[in-house]
Amino acid sequence: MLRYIVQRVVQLVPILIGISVVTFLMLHLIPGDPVLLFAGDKPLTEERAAEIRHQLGLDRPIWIQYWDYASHAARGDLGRGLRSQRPVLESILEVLPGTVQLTLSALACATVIGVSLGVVAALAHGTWVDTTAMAFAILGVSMPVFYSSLLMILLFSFTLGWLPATGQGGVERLVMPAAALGLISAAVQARLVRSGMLGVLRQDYVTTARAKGLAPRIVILRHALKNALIPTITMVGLQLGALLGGAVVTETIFSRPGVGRLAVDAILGRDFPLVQGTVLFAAVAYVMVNLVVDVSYAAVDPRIRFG
Amino acid sequence: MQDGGRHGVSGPARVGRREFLRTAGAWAGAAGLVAGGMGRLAEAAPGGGGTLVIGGFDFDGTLDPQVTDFDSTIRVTLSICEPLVWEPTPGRFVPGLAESWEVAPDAKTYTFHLRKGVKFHDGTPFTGDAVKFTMDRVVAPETKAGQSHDQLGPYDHTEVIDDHTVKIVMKEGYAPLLTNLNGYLGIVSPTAVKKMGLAEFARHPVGTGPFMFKEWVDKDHVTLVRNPDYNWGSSFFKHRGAAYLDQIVFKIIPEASVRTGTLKSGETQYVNDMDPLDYASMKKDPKFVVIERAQPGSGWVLLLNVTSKGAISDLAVRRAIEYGVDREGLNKAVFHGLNKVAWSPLMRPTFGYDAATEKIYSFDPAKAKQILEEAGWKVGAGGIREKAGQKLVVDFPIIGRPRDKAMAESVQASLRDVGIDLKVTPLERAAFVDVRRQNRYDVNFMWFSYGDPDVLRTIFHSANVNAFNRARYQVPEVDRMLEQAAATTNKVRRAALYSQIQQRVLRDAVCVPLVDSLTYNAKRAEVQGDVLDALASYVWLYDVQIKK
Repeated sequence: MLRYIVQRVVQLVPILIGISVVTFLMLHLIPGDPVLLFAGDKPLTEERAAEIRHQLGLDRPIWIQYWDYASHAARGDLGRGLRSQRPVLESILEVLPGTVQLTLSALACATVIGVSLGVVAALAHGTWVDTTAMAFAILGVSMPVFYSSLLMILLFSFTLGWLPATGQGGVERLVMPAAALGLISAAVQARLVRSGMLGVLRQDYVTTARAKGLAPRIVILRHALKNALIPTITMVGLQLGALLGGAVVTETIFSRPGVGRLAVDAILGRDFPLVQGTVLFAAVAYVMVNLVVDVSYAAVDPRIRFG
Repeated sequence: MQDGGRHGVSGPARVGRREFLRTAGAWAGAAGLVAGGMGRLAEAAPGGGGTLVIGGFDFDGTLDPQVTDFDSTIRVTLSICEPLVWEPTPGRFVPGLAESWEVAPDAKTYTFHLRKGVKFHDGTPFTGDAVKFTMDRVVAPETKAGQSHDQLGPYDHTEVIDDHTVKIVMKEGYAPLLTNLNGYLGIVSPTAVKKMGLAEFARHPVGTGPFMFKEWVDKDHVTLVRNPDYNWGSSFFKHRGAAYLDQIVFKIIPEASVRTGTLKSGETQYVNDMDPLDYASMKKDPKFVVIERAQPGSGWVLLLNVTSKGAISDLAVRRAIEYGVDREGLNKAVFHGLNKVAWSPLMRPTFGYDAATEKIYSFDPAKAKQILEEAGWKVGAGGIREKAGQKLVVDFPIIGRPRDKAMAESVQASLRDVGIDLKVTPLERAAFVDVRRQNRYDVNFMWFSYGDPDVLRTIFHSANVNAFNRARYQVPEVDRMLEQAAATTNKVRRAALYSQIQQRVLRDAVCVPLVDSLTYNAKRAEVQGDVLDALASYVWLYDVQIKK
């Protein structure tokens, strides 16, 4: 197991270098001179252009710029935001808890709804319960996050007045955004669990367990669901990425602090160090989450061998 | 985030004699306040205190008025860092930190007589040094100033004559300075800036205002608390002494429909930039007040590139476009008819707006067709006109935002009816900037809310061909008129010059005005005493009371 983990971590090195190159080149690859982009619509004198060029460090050879960027990034120094003059990492860490909280609650929400819906649909295979559950799943997949978010706000905040529509804080401010964000994931998981369960329920060992006279509850939870969940675990890991993406929209609509909004605002404000920092941070986080998922997947399924 | 500039500015604008007298009266009142001293302070009635929650757009990572590029940030800092003068309605100036001022006729020097006994929140006394410090830091490269840099114009230096008199000197005449003071040039505490450094000051701004900074939770809210020592309010305001409100919370709610909804649910009591779609239902409900106000500056216009190698360089084509665009239809389709159809590059509340421009063109497709016909553009395949094998195609790159797209498509439909093929290309911002810098376009959008008609220099002076002058219009005579108008404080002369300039650019058909823009704010009816400034952008909260 340890060897597997070490091996996976070593494999990360080229990936991380690749990510750092891409985020570094971002500034140079996008169309347009970064200096002109930074200056926007203001008239630009030669000396002002030179000043900005120097400020951004663009007057040095590109490989020196990269080395400077990468070596600083490796030490956790992502530079300073152009407007705020604060260390980029500090800005990210300040809003990170909001995003983590939202993503994990959405994931929990999605898993609870998704798994129970899937199990119920599989057990009630072919009945109206199954049809209704799957119709809900299709609705969940096809409804854009911003739309379901706005509907929820309209109903629960503005019409019924049960929940606050904006901000971060207690559970009451987390329920709607987590549910809205989790909905898509829940739908995907419900379909996955349903088909997994249907497959497993036809297996001989389930029939045997039933024949032994085990309580149906035990058969379903211990024997069937445990095996049907294996693909779901992988799925959950992969969806974490999708959730991070959806969090940008959810954060904006529910006015929650978060990395997604920080990144979007940085892009709109042409704050390049902040853009590079948030992209690099998100990419590294994504890679790390995938590593954790792979390792835990291997730990759950004994058929996966390390090495 | 705001494309185009949203400058808060205006020059010595239309001050008729009556208004001038009223302003003079205000100065006398201010002097009286100082003389009367504490007597008037004792009259201050407690306003009930409480917390006002304002829903607004996000900030750009700084609360430093000299660094920010966002009007939404200034809405916060204006209560912390006060200006030298306030501008309640276009062209009318009332004392702020300056009790009175003199402007040289050539608009090159501005002398300010400062209020005495004023203290910054950190205890530093307010003197001429603070004014000099604030202005100098705008041009210092290490400040990395944003809008304030543009707004200080051709700044040369500030002379501190004595503790309470300063002279701001310009390199050349610059009439819009007074308006520009009301916002990005708010006075900051030199002690605080030096002690904290740039980054720290941007998180904890210190000024002389009626409210002091308390906390800022990024992407969530900024809280200000009442300054208990405040007793130097402008004579313009309704009361003296400390502000009524205990606290103001500026809540960041990026989504417009949610922002408006929070007003109904009571999470906020005031919202900026409401969704115009909510306008009708809010207006009917007596629990709310919708505040709509026309802005000064330049509204949504099309600038037609005269240096293009395409058909648009032909005056006849440009004139046909002037007649061919259905502005009323555009206003209905895109803005639900809430804005006002425009005929001048200046919006109506701007000083120098010439109403005669409204008669230069009209929506007249028949006339447009006739002009094109006479210029040799004959109807060809698919109804698109041609001349000597050249198709009448006009390139219109835009940034792919929904509103820009909707406007562009509306213009496209109008022009198609007269046989012009307007090619609308939505681009990513960086690609768009490239196209513009490389002069590969025929038409461009422009919108520039600004308090002074000097905005016309930004859009039509040949020095700005690589910036906001997207028509790439270079007429020495117009340049001269623009320079003369900026270098005089004589209102009659200024108005006459701006009138000529508006008529000239319309006759040269380099600018197609579409609509004037309005700002929409809304509040709960119990919120009283708020004042929207001359730019229809900043809300003054000093007099605000929440009356149950």
